[in-house]
Amino acid sequence: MSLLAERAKEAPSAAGPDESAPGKGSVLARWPRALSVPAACVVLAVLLPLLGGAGLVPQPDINIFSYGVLAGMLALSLNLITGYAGPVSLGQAAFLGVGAFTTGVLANKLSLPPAAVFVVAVVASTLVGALAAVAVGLPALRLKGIYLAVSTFAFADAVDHYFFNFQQVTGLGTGITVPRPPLGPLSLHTSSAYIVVPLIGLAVVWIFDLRLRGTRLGRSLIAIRESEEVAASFGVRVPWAKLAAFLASGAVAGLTGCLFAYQVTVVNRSSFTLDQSLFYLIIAVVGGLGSRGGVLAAGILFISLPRWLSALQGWDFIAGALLLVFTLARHPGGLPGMLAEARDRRALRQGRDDLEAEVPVVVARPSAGPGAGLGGRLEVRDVSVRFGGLAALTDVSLVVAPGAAVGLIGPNGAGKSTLFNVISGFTRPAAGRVVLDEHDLTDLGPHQRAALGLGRTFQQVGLVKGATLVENLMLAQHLRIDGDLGPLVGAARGRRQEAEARDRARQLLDEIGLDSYAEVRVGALSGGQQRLVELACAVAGRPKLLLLDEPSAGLSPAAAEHLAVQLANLRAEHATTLLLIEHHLPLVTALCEDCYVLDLGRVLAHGPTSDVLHRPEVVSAYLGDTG
Amino acid sequence: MHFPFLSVTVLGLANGAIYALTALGLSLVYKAARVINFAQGEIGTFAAFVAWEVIAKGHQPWAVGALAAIAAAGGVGYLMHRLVAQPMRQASRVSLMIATLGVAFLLFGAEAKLFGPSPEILPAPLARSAFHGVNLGGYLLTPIYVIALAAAALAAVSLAALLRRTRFGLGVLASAQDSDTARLLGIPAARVSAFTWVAAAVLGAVAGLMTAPTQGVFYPFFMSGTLFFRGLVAALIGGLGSLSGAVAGGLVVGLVEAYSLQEFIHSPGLPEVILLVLVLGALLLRPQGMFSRRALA
Repeated sequence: MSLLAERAKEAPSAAGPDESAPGKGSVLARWPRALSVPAACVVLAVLLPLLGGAGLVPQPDINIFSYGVLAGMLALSLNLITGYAGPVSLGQAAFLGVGAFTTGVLANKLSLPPAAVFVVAVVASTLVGALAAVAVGLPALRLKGIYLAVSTFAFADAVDHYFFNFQQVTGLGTGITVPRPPLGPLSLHTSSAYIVVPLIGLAVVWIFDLRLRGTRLGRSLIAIRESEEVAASFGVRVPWAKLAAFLASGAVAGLTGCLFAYQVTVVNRSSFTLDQSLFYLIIAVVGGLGSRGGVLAAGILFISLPRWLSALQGWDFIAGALLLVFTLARHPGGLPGMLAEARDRRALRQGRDDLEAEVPVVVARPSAGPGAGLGGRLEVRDVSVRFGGLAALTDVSLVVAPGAAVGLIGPNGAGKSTLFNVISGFTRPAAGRVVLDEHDLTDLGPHQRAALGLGRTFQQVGLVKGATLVENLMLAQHLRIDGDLGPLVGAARGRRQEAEARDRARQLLDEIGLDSYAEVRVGALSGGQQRLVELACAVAGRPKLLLLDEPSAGLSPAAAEHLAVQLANLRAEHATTLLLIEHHLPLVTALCEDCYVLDLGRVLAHGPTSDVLHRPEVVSAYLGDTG
Repeated sequence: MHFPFLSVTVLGLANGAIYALTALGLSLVYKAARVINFAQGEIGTFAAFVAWEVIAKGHQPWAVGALAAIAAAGGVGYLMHRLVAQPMRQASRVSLMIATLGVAFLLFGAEAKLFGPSPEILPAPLARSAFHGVNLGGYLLTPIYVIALAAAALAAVSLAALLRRTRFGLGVLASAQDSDTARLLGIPAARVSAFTWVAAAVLGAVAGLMTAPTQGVFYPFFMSGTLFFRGLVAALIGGLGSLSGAVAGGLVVGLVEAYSLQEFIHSPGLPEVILLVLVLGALLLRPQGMFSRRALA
């Protein structure tokens, strides 16, 4: 008791100015580090032409570095799709080729000044690359894992052998010539002058990548990578987000292809073969999928080093392959993954007091008020579900009044989770309807139901373990941000909505006492802490109806008690309608006025909780028919 | 059709037999490990280089070189089992697939370092014997194609016999069905895994020894570029994990390629587009394979 009281005293100060200052500091500290790559690009874009022009840095070395920068850009494009969203692309070099040949054709067919051709080529190559990637991505809506990877491989092979094989497009063996344009008064013919172009390209791609990862679309992709179901439960439109990832990846690869065409000046099919595609995947995996910096560094090093140090030639494949197998077998996240784990551990150590508490003590706050009157009315009418010959649910009907908290109990296999899946749209019923307020949900998908105000938690924690706490809470507010493009390009409304979502995420983390772990990845937390984050997520979307599937599963009795307090608090504050599956009956009695009992897929009893729990048929369903 | 139908068909079947060997290796590994082995083709290149070293540079008989190549490939297969597949038993199948890709590049790098990066010629077996091939209505099927057909048939039949007629082979099949139950019944999972990787590598070696002479020259990575993709298409349309499907798929791919090359002689690369359509069709419409009557559970 005294220990709890002590912690309760500490808790307010943890949210005070002492704690929040380093939090803000870390945000400030993060931006310059993330922007150091574009900054380095600008510095090099000024220095290298001067040093190269004066003969202080040999032209061939600059040329090699230029190839490295382009390789880094292509590796980043691969990271967008495979690192962030998950689908393995085995054909990235084909997108590079599509961009390069688009530029090649334009450079030969357009009768415009070279500088104008360059501008048109940059735009057109980016668009054509994006289109090609969307075409490759379409099967991704039905295929997963290995099969999806194989389809990208087959696409790349067909593009290489067929489209890159047209004499008039690609010039076949001799290739197609792309003359470099002048940049204002400057000629770009020397390597030390042209290096400016890839460096600017890299800076642009890096900032695009940074914005994408930091806003709504990026969070959706990370969620999809881990679990499409969890992503959909947050309201993410999974097919669109996947296609958007392909589109972004293809656009970056197409742009890279355009700059590559001006780099080589003679574009030849041999640069875009399947083995190139496969080697870029190895580069991205060794650099650490999902890690911008690691992937970029691996791209530059793997392409530049063997050309600089001729002794290394031929060893790049061997070293890459050995590193790859080692990485995958020992540390799937690669070096950046190990660093991130260390960072999480350090953050958790700093807040060890909270960690030992398992579930932090919550200070009850006066209701903030904005949620009042939000609760919706749920009606389930005669729902039946069959799995093959098994009747999982038979004619189940229930009503939850606006703002009420209703328990759903019953022995294992009674059909409780199946009913939740029907209500939230993951299982289609054979018969019956689900109605929330005036909306008939029966024929809607999970993300549409989420948009209408339905939130749920899962029996297994339904969070994105590889994303931070703040990111999870922002994902939970996915539908409160209008669209992916606004935040990405930094439009005023998108920026404001992102900022609001971030503020609310911080505030909710503060409410559950995990504010100091805002930038820790969820996977590093304990089970009890993950449950709390899940609850906060469920509330964050301001749902009209919240379905909680065994929130106390896996918690100690003490932790479950804290959770009950927490739930009562959240309910008082956010005034949502609650439907709760729970085996821990004290939690049900404490929270729910009414209660339904399911057994063998049918409603066995319903009524006021204290009354229902004592009915003989309920007792016998729970304890067996012996009594 | 405007081409000599019989000879094109036989040529397609002979090439298809080589694709069937690759598809068999892919399907066998998929059956046991649920992964596509991206090194399946490159093991063939490696084997061809070993044979070339022994035959062309060491002036040994063809059979000696072939045996050395098969032994070397078997070693690579065993190492893949030991150093990649076993440590990654619990890893996601996509990760394991990328790891096999790493092995392909390791072999590629090793070939370039050990044997050199330039194209080489692997002499055909029986090149200097009295056997000059089979005459098919005016078209001469060269010995290498006759041997390829025979070798593919021999490999497929002996693999089938091994799997269906021996106690160990039945264990391999049981393990592919349900590895946990198989282990409870006393079937050694590690030995089963070792067998599948080694057997697949040997199939890859035979495919490499047959392909290199028919293509004229061979060089590092050449099997990964062309043969691997065709073998993969064959395995997919046969249904991954189905051994008889792999053989049928290989023959279908060989025929499709031979006919389309003749029909569309002025559109190089068109066979690849047809293969892409076959792959997507197989993946999207009939993931259980074109020849299977049962639906996937």
